[in-house]
Formats: sequence, structure tokens, C-alpha cells
Amino acid sequence: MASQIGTMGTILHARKEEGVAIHPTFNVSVIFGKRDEPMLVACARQLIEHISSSGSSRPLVLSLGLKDHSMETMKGIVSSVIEHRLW
Amino acid sequence: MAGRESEYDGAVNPDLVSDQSLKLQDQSTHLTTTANAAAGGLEITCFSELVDDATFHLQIIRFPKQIYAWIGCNSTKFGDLYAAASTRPSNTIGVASILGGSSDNTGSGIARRLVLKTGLNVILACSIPKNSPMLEV
Repeated sequence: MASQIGTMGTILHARKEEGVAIHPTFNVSVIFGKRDEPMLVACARQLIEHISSSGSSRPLVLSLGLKDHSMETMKGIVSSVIEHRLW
Repeated sequence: MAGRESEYDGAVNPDLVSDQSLKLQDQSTHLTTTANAAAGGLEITCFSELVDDATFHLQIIRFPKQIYAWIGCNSTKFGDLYAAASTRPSNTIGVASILGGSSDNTGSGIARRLVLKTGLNVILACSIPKNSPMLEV
């Protein structure tokens, strides 16, 4: 959960999909909030890919309540979450 | 949970100098962290409680106008996610299942009652099984 606006903001769900392809596929969706902000989806996608490449198959529920949706902000959030990883 | 000190006084003190204060209660595994940033107060409460042979784990994050709560019953599963808020102008409570769950699940009822009691928007993650009315209380 990352917030700058005093609420949870947009909630996203990301999971790795079981499949026969060599490369894993991921399903990322907004389940509550802004659905027209691609950077939020990109942020969740990066995190679930990192979780998956670390060997964990856990799904991710991510909430982002941000004032700006710039690439720098997203990169900062991704690196912070990875730095404090729990998987 | 009788006799537990309420964690929701609803007030954020902007005059606190330190950004964080940590309060550890000795009677139970009850941990409250209060962060008073310039943008508004944030209170995080985590505790576990044994009720009727069932262990409940709770994490509650209190935003200025919203509450996030996770309730784990005998497990640490995230469970189903619900969003609830009061609607205008009729002041009824609207509940939506946003991950897993359904409208007749335990979690939707709890989310609804939280909105009734607090008046805040509620996001609730709950893994309490169905058909356990005593646990709900």
C-alpha cells in the first residue's frame, strides 16, 4: 500500500497465470479505482514479475493512492517495495 | 474483546512533534503505530485475539476518511476483499465484493456494520468462514 492522498486509492490485483508457455504470463487488473491510468497497471506488472522471478507464486494486491503517476514515482515505488520485500 | 481500549478516537493531533510513536500494550499482542505526517494522520493497529477457540488476526489502518482492515481467522490468508460506503442521499450502505466473495458472505456483513458504526468508507479483507455467527460478533 502506498499513499500520498490519505486514502488507499486504486487497488490492483496481479497474479501469475499457469500455462504451458515457456515464458510466464501475468494477469493484472484494476479491481477498484482508476482504470484509465496505465502507469498503475505497469507498476503492478513490474512487481508481480519480480515476485515471480524470485520463485514465489503469490498473487499481489496493490493499492496506490498517488498525486502523480509519473514514471519516476512508479520506479520509486517499485524499488521501495522490492527493497522491503516480504516474499 | 470486552474491555479493549478503543483505537479509534477519530482525532489526529497535528501538534505532535515526532513523526511516529509506538505504543505496545502488555495485556495482549497489540501493536499500534501512529504516523502523523503533514498530509494527515495514519494509525496502524495489529493484534491477535483468541475468541471461542478461534484465533483472529487483525490489521487495521485508519486513514482520515477511510478504514482498511484485514481479518484472518485461524489463518493468515488474505481472504475476500470488500468495499463499503454510505450512499447519498438515502444514507443506506452500499457493499461491493471486489476480490472473491459474494454479497452474502460474512465479510460483506462486517464491512457494512463497520460503515454504520464509523461513518467512514471501509475496505475489508476477511477470511472468516460462512455460517459462523458467533465468530462474527
